[in-house]
Amino acid sequence: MSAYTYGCCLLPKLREHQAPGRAWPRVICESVHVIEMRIIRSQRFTDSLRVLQGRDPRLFEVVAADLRYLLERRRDAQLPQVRFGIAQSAFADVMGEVRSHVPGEQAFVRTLFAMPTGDRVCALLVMGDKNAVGGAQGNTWYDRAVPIADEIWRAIAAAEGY
Amino acid sequence: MAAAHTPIDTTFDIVDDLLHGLDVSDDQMARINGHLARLLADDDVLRAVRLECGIAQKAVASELGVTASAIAQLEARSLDTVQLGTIRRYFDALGYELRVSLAPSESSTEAGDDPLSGTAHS
Repeated sequence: MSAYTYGCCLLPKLREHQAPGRAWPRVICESVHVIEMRIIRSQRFTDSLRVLQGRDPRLFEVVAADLRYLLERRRDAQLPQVRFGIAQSAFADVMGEVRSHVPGEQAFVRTLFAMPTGDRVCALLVMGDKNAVGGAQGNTWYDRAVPIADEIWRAIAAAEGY
Repeated sequence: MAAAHTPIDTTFDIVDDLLHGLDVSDDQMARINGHLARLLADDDVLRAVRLECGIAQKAVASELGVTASAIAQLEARSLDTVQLGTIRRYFDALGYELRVSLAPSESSTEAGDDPLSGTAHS
Protein backbone atom coordinates (compact mmCIF):
# COMPACT_ATOMS: atom_id res chain seq x y z
CA MET A 1 0.00 0.00 0.00
CA SER A 2 1.33 3.41 -0.92
CA ALA A 3 1.34 6.50 1.20
CA TYR A 4 1.72 9.98 -0.17
CA THR A 5 2.37 13.34 1.35
CA TYR A 6 1.09 16.48 -0.21
CA GLY A 7 1.93 20.11 0.18
CA CYS A 8 0.85 23.46 -1.15
CA CYS A 9 2.80 26.50 -2.13
CA LEU A 10 1.69 30.00 -2.97
CA LEU A 11 3.14 32.00 -5.82
CA PRO A 12 2.46 35.67 -6.50
CA LYS A 13 0.33 36.05 -9.62
CA LEU A 14 1.09 38.36 -12.51
CA ARG A 15 -1.68 40.93 -12.44
CA GLU A 16 -3.09 42.69 -15.47
CA HIS A 17 -1.84 46.06 -14.31
CA GLN A 18 1.74 44.87 -14.09
CA ALA A 19 4.23 45.52 -16.85
CA PRO A 20 4.37 42.73 -19.48
CA GLY A 21 7.55 40.75 -19.64
CA ARG A 22 8.43 41.38 -16.04
CA ALA A 23 10.33 38.36 -14.78
CA TRP A 24 8.72 38.20 -11.38
CA PRO A 25 5.56 39.94 -10.29
CA ARG A 26 5.45 42.39 -7.49
CA VAL A 27 4.82 40.70 -4.16
CA ILE A 28 1.82 42.44 -2.70
CA CYS A 29 2.87 41.92 0.88
CA GLU A 30 6.17 43.71 0.60
CA SER A 31 5.11 46.98 2.18
CA VAL A 32 2.99 46.04 5.17
CA HIS A 33 3.16 48.71 7.84
CA VAL A 34 2.85 47.33 11.35
CA ILE A 35 1.21 49.76 13.75
CA GLU A 36 2.78 49.75 17.18
CA MET A 37 0.42 48.81 19.96
CA ARG A 38 0.43 50.55 23.31
CA ILE A 39 0.03 48.08 26.17
CA ILE A 40 -1.61 49.45 29.29
CA ARG A 41 -1.79 47.34 32.45
CA SER A 42 -4.02 48.31 35.33
CA GLN A 43 -2.40 47.84 38.71
CA ARG A 44 -5.22 45.44 39.54
CA PHE A 45 -4.46 43.30 36.49
CA THR A 46 -0.70 43.28 37.14
CA ASP A 47 -1.25 42.24 40.75
CA SER A 48 -3.53 39.38 39.65
CA LEU A 49 -1.02 38.23 37.04
CA ARG A 50 1.76 38.20 39.62
CA VAL A 51 -0.36 36.21 42.09
CA LEU A 52 -1.28 33.70 39.38
CA GLN A 53 2.37 33.24 38.48
CA GLY A 54 3.16 32.37 42.09
CA ARG A 55 0.19 30.05 42.65
CA ASP A 56 -0.12 28.19 39.36
CA PRO A 57 2.89 28.58 37.02
CA ARG A 58 1.39 26.27 34.39
CA LEU A 59 -1.84 28.23 34.16
CA PHE A 60 0.16 31.47 34.20
CA GLU A 61 2.04 30.31 31.08
CA VAL A 62 -1.22 29.56 29.27
CA VAL A 63 -2.70 32.92 30.29
CA ALA A 64 0.44 34.75 29.16
CA ALA A 65 0.33 32.97 25.79
CA ASP A 66 -3.39 33.75 25.36
CA LEU A 67 -2.78 37.42 26.15
CA ARG A 68 0.10 37.53 23.69
CA TYR A 69 -2.19 35.95 21.11
CA LEU A 70 -4.58 38.87 21.62
CA LEU A 71 -1.76 41.40 21.25
CA GLU A 72 -0.55 39.61 18.12
CA ARG A 73 -3.90 39.19 16.37
CA ARG A 74 -5.63 42.22 17.88
CA ARG A 75 -9.15 42.62 16.45
CA ASP A 76 -8.61 39.49 14.36
CA ALA A 77 -8.17 37.34 17.47
CA GLN A 78 -10.80 34.62 17.64
CA LEU A 79 -12.69 32.34 19.97
CA PRO A 80 -12.06 30.29 22.00
CA GLN A 81 -9.23 32.48 23.26
CA VAL A 82 -10.72 35.92 22.66
CA ARG A 83 -14.24 37.32 22.60
CA PHE A 84 -15.08 40.89 21.71
CA GLY A 85 -18.19 42.76 22.81
CA ILE A 86 -18.93 42.40 26.51
CA ALA A 87 -22.65 43.19 26.62
CA GLN A 88 -22.69 44.08 30.33
CA SER A 89 -20.11 46.81 29.83
CA ALA A 90 -20.86 50.49 29.35
CA PHE A 91 -18.14 50.25 26.67
CA ALA A 92 -19.44 47.10 24.98
CA ASP A 93 -17.94 47.90 21.58
CA VAL A 94 -14.50 48.37 23.11
CA MET A 95 -14.47 45.76 25.85
CA GLY A 96 -13.50 42.13 25.32
CA GLU A 97 -12.23 39.16 27.24
CA VAL A 98 -9.37 36.69 26.96
CA ARG A 99 -10.44 33.18 28.00
CA SER A 100 -7.82 30.86 29.47
CA HIS A 101 -8.18 27.32 30.72
CA VAL A 102 -5.96 24.30 31.25
CA PRO A 103 -7.84 21.05 30.51
CA GLY A 104 -8.52 19.14 33.71
CA GLU A 105 -8.07 22.14 35.98
CA GLN A 106 -10.83 23.97 37.81
CA ALA A 107 -9.90 27.53 36.94
CA PHE A 108 -11.49 29.41 34.04
CA VAL A 109 -9.47 32.59 33.90
CA ARG A 110 -11.01 35.63 32.28
CA THR A 111 -9.13 38.84 31.48
CA LEU A 112 -11.23 41.86 30.61
CA PHE A 113 -9.53 44.30 28.26
CA ALA A 114 -10.35 47.42 26.29
CA MET A 115 -9.22 47.74 22.68
CA PRO A 116 -10.64 50.79 20.94
CA THR A 117 -11.06 50.69 17.18
CA GLY A 118 -7.78 51.32 15.45
CA ASP A 119 -5.81 48.65 17.28
CA ARG A 120 -3.34 51.16 18.68
CA VAL A 121 -3.94 50.44 22.34
CA CYS A 122 -4.87 47.47 24.49
CA ALA A 123 -5.68 48.07 28.13
CA LEU A 124 -5.63 44.97 30.33
CA LEU A 125 -8.08 45.80 33.09
CA VAL A 126 -9.29 42.96 35.33
CA MET A 127 -8.32 39.30 35.63
CA GLY A 128 -10.04 36.60 37.66
CA ASP A 129 -11.20 33.01 37.90
CA LYS A 130 -14.78 32.89 36.68
CA ASN A 131 -15.30 29.46 38.23
CA ALA A 132 -14.34 30.71 41.69
CA VAL A 133 -17.19 33.22 41.71
CA GLY A 134 -20.57 31.69 41.02
CA GLY A 135 -19.38 28.73 38.93
CA ALA A 136 -18.10 28.33 35.40
CA GLN A 137 -21.54 28.64 33.76
CA GLY A 138 -22.94 31.69 35.52
CA ASN A 139 -22.53 35.41 35.03
CA THR A 140 -21.74 36.24 38.66
CA TRP A 141 -18.10 36.94 37.95
CA TYR A 142 -19.02 39.32 35.12
CA ASP A 143 -21.59 41.08 37.31
CA ARG A 144 -18.78 41.92 39.69
CA ALA A 145 -15.81 42.35 37.35
CA VAL A 146 -17.31 44.32 34.45
CA PRO A 147 -18.27 47.42 36.49
CA ILE A 148 -14.74 47.45 37.91
CA ALA A 149 -13.25 47.14 34.42
CA ASP A 150 -15.54 49.94 33.24
CA GLU A 151 -14.37 52.23 36.00
CA ILE A 152 -10.70 51.50 35.35
CA TRP A 153 -11.12 52.00 31.60
CA ARG A 154 -13.02 55.24 32.22
CA ALA A 155 -10.06 56.50 34.25
CA ILE A 156 -7.52 55.40 31.64
CA ALA A 157 -9.52 56.89 28.77
CA ALA A 158 -9.82 60.19 30.61
CA ALA A 159 -6.12 60.30 31.48
CA GLU A 160 -4.83 59.22 28.06
CA GLY A 161 -7.44 60.89 25.88
CA TYR A 162 -9.08 57.82 24.32
CA MET B 1 -27.37 51.20 56.55
CA ALA B 2 -25.51 51.20 53.26
CA ALA B 3 -22.21 49.36 52.98
CA ALA B 4 -19.11 51.52 52.87
CA HIS B 5 -17.93 52.14 49.31
CA THR B 6 -14.43 50.82 48.71
CA PRO B 7 -12.74 52.90 46.05
CA ILE B 8 -11.47 50.94 43.04
CA ASP B 9 -7.77 51.19 42.30
CA THR B 10 -7.69 52.76 38.83
CA THR B 11 -3.92 53.25 38.62
CA PHE B 12 -2.14 51.84 35.58
CA ASP B 13 1.16 51.72 33.79
CA ILE B 14 2.17 51.67 30.12
CA VAL B 15 4.65 48.93 29.21
CA ASP B 16 6.57 47.73 26.18
CA ASP B 17 6.01 44.09 27.06
CA LEU B 18 3.08 42.31 28.64
CA LEU B 19 5.30 40.60 31.22
CA HIS B 20 7.44 43.62 32.03
CA GLY B 21 8.53 43.58 35.67
CA LEU B 22 7.63 39.92 36.24
CA ASP B 23 10.35 37.41 37.03
CA VAL B 24 9.96 34.97 34.13
CA SER B 25 12.67 32.35 33.61
CA ASP B 26 14.02 31.44 30.19
CA ASP B 27 12.38 28.01 30.46
CA GLN B 28 9.04 29.55 31.33
CA MET B 29 9.33 32.05 28.49
CA ALA B 30 10.11 29.19 26.09
CA ARG B 31 6.94 27.38 27.18
CA ILE B 32 4.89 30.57 26.79
CA ASN B 33 6.27 31.05 23.29
CA GLY B 34 5.47 27.41 22.54
CA HIS B 35 1.85 27.90 23.59
CA LEU B 36 1.65 31.06 21.49
CA ALA B 37 3.14 29.35 18.44
CA ARG B 38 0.49 26.63 18.65
CA LEU B 39 -2.27 29.22 18.97
CA LEU B 40 -1.05 31.11 15.93
CA ALA B 41 -0.63 27.90 13.93
CA ASP B 42 -4.14 26.83 14.83
CA ASP B 43 -5.46 30.20 13.81
CA ASP B 44 -5.97 28.91 10.27
CA VAL B 45 -3.70 29.34 7.32
CA LEU B 46 -6.11 31.47 5.30
CA ARG B 47 -6.23 34.21 7.90
CA ALA B 48 -2.49 34.02 8.51
CA VAL B 49 -1.66 34.60 4.84
CA ARG B 50 -4.18 37.43 4.55
CA LEU B 51 -2.76 39.13 7.63
CA GLU B 52 0.74 38.75 6.22
CA CYS B 53 -0.49 40.48 3.08
CA GLY B 54 -2.09 43.27 5.10
CA ILE B 55 -5.42 42.88 3.27
CA ALA B 56 -8.76 43.39 5.03
CA GLN B 57 -11.53 40.79 4.97
CA LYS B 58 -13.75 43.36 3.26
CA ALA B 59 -11.28 43.71 0.37
CA VAL B 60 -11.12 39.94 -0.15
CA ALA B 61 -14.92 39.77 0.03
CA SER B 62 -15.24 42.48 -2.59
CA GLU B 63 -12.81 40.66 -4.89
CA LEU B 64 -14.76 37.41 -4.56
CA GLY B 65 -18.20 39.00 -4.68
CA VAL B 66 -19.26 37.77 -1.24
CA THR B 67 -19.83 39.39 2.13
CA ALA B 68 -17.09 40.05 4.67
CA SER B 69 -19.06 37.82 7.01
CA ALA B 70 -18.71 34.93 4.55
CA ILE B 71 -14.94 35.46 4.50
CA ALA B 72 -14.84 35.47 8.29
CA GLN B 73 -16.78 32.18 8.35
CA LEU B 74 -14.48 30.67 5.74
CA GLU B 75 -11.37 31.65 7.67
CA ALA B 76 -12.79 30.17 10.86
CA ARG B 77 -13.34 26.75 9.28
CA SER B 78 -10.88 23.91 9.33
CA LEU B 79 -9.13 23.60 5.98
CA ASP B 80 -10.15 19.94 5.93
CA THR B 81 -13.75 21.03 5.43
CA VAL B 82 -13.18 23.59 2.67
CA GLN B 83 -13.18 22.70 -1.03
CA LEU B 84 -9.84 23.12 -2.75
CA GLY B 85 -11.45 25.35 -5.37
CA THR B 86 -12.63 27.73 -2.66
CA ILE B 87 -9.15 27.90 -1.18
CA ARG B 88 -7.74 28.52 -4.65
CA ARG B 89 -10.14 31.42 -5.29
CA TYR B 90 -9.40 32.89 -1.87
CA PHE B 91 -5.66 32.98 -2.50
CA ASP B 92 -6.28 34.29 -6.01
CA ALA B 93 -8.07 37.25 -4.42
CA LEU B 94 -4.96 37.84 -2.32
CA GLY B 95 -2.87 37.80 -5.49
CA TYR B 96 -1.42 34.34 -5.09
CA GLU B 97 -1.61 31.16 -7.11
CA LEU B 98 -2.09 27.97 -5.14
CA ARG B 99 -0.06 25.00 -6.34
CA VAL B 100 -0.52 21.56 -4.87
CA SER B 101 2.40 19.16 -4.88
CA LEU B 102 2.32 15.41 -4.34
CA ALA B 103 5.22 13.16 -3.44
CA PRO B 104 5.54 9.60 -2.17
CA SER B 105 6.00 9.55 1.57
CA GLU B 106 9.14 8.04 3.03
CA SER B 107 7.37 4.84 4.01
CA SER B 108 6.06 4.40 0.47
CA THR B 109 9.49 4.99 -1.05
CA GLU B 110 11.03 2.47 1.27
CA ALA B 111 8.43 -0.09 0.26
CA GLY B 112 9.35 0.44 -3.39
CA ASP B 113 5.70 0.90 -4.36
CA ASP B 114 4.72 3.97 -6.36
CA PRO B 115 1.64 3.13 -8.45
CA LEU B 116 0.84 6.77 -9.29
CA SER B 117 4.17 7.15 -11.07
CA GLY B 118 3.48 4.02 -13.14
CA THR B 119 6.91 2.61 -12.40
CA ALA B 120 7.31 0.13 -9.59
CA HIS B 121 10.68 0.02 -7.93
CA SER B 122 12.62 -3.17 -8.53
